Amino acid sequence: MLNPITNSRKNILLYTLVWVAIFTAHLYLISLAGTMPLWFRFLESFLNISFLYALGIGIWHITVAQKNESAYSPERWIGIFVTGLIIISLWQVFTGGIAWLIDNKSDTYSRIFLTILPYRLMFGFFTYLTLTIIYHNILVFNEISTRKLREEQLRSHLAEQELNMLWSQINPHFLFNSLNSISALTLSDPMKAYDMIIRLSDFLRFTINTRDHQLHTLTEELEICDRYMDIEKIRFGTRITYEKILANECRQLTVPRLIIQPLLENALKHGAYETLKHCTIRLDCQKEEDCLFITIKNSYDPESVQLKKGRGVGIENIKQRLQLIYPHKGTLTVNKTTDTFIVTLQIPINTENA
Amino acid sequence: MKHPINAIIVDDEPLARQLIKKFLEVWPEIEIIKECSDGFEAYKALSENHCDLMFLDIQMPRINGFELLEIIDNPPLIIFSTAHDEYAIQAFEQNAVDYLLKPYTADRFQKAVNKALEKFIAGEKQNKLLNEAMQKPDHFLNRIVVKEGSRVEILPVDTLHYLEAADDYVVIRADKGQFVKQRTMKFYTAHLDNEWFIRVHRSYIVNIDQIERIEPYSKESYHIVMKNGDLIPASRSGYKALRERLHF
Repeated sequence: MLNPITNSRKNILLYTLVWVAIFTAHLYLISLAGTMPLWFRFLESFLNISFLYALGIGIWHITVAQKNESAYSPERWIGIFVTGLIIISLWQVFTGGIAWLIDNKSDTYSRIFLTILPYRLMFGFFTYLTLTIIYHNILVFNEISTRKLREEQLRSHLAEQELNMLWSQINPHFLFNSLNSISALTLSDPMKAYDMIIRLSDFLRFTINTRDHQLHTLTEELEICDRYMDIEKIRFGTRITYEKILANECRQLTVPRLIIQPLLENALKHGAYETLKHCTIRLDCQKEEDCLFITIKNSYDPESVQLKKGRGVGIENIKQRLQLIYPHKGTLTVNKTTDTFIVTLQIPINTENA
Repeated sequence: MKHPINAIIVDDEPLARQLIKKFLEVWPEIEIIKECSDGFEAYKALSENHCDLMFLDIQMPRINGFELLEIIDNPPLIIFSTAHDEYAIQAFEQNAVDYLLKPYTADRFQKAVNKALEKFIAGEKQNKLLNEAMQKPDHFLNRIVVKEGSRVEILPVDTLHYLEAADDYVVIRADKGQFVKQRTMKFYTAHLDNEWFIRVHRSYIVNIDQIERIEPYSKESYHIVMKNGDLIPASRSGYKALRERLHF
């Protein structure tokens, strides 16, 4: 990990400025302890402060080296304390010793040195401790944010996978029954078979190529729905009526891919697969304030025994997808009257894409 | 001319029926006497006509293919034709002549019909189907189809009150009345959703929605009073199962 001070020019400058200020203060303060020539005060201050200046940068590496020990163990903090005491004492022994030698081992300096010593020890130790704590916090913070980032990545990855799973459930029975119908048409009505193959291909292309994009326009979505309903109409013949009402202002609104088609499939499952009566499916798209409302109504035969699980799974899938794409905003509600099923999708309008 | 073979095609998709009809044109001895779009129509057709061969889809409105087989008495030779591959093994276990997976080739269809013709000429009959394995174990029954004289009743499982064992049969008590079905208690224990259906006794399975109250009978046994007033004994293990399910 990079040293937080030396990794940017701005930080080095700031750090240096702080120490220049301390140097100036030191220059003045030592004059209170006794009279010294100005050049000597300069030299003495420079020796002391430059050591602390270097130490301040060095502590980072000591802290990083200790980072693997548990962050708040007493051993660690005792270690930090003892290291600090030794370093600060050595600092005074060295700088004091050098200054004393330069001043020809004078008694005057010895006296001044001893007067200042307790203050300098305190200040040095305080600086050491403060920097250690700051560095320590930076480390912990970094670690937490890295972990958070990783968790976030993991979560979005999971969500993506989940989404893929949710919409990859193209019904194999629909596919094989359609192919069977086509095979029948090739013998009786080749042009119609040709037509149905194209529609089925369009539909499959839509459902297979959707992995990369979550959203597309309502017009595109309804295109898929039309293809799908075309095929089902050929399969079930006159038993199905499909009507759709689309307000003009809704055309370019974005919706999650393949969010409506499964609902139509569901409607058919209960309206056409489970009864021989005529089944009418009505799709209605309206914009209200900042939401898009898509309603799918289908008639069903109240006498037929509904498969309990059938509707549940499809509806649950859509609910989960809405939840993943629009947390707390996209909803799906189901209402049932004696002969009609009404499913309403509420999708928030993303103004940037509107 | 040979005696014609009477065939019925059962499929809810018109094009699927049309294809079979087209393929059958090469056999003049096979006469299509009826086309049906669900199990109900097929049941009616079977009781009104003599039928030798039936092409049968599985997923259909109202009564599905397997349910139809449960209620007919003298089943014809059967060729399944469906997009559901998961039922193939069960279909063969039930002595179906063949199992066509949609979509199929003309060759494959021909093979199936030839097999049926061989069986027909040899005078083989379709065995009465005992489709204990009809549904996958992870798929509970939604309804039970029963026959009352010539009438067919569909009983959604949530209208059932309880089931009682009677020799080789099971007596089913439901909103619509009492019906007899040739099945085992073991089958229903496995195929009714155990969230709602508890085997309270060797001879009884109850729908817990239909329980009025449970009262002690003797020192170690209990009686279940149903909403319709019927009394059902609960064994010690049955009582335990009820307690676990109803948390009392």
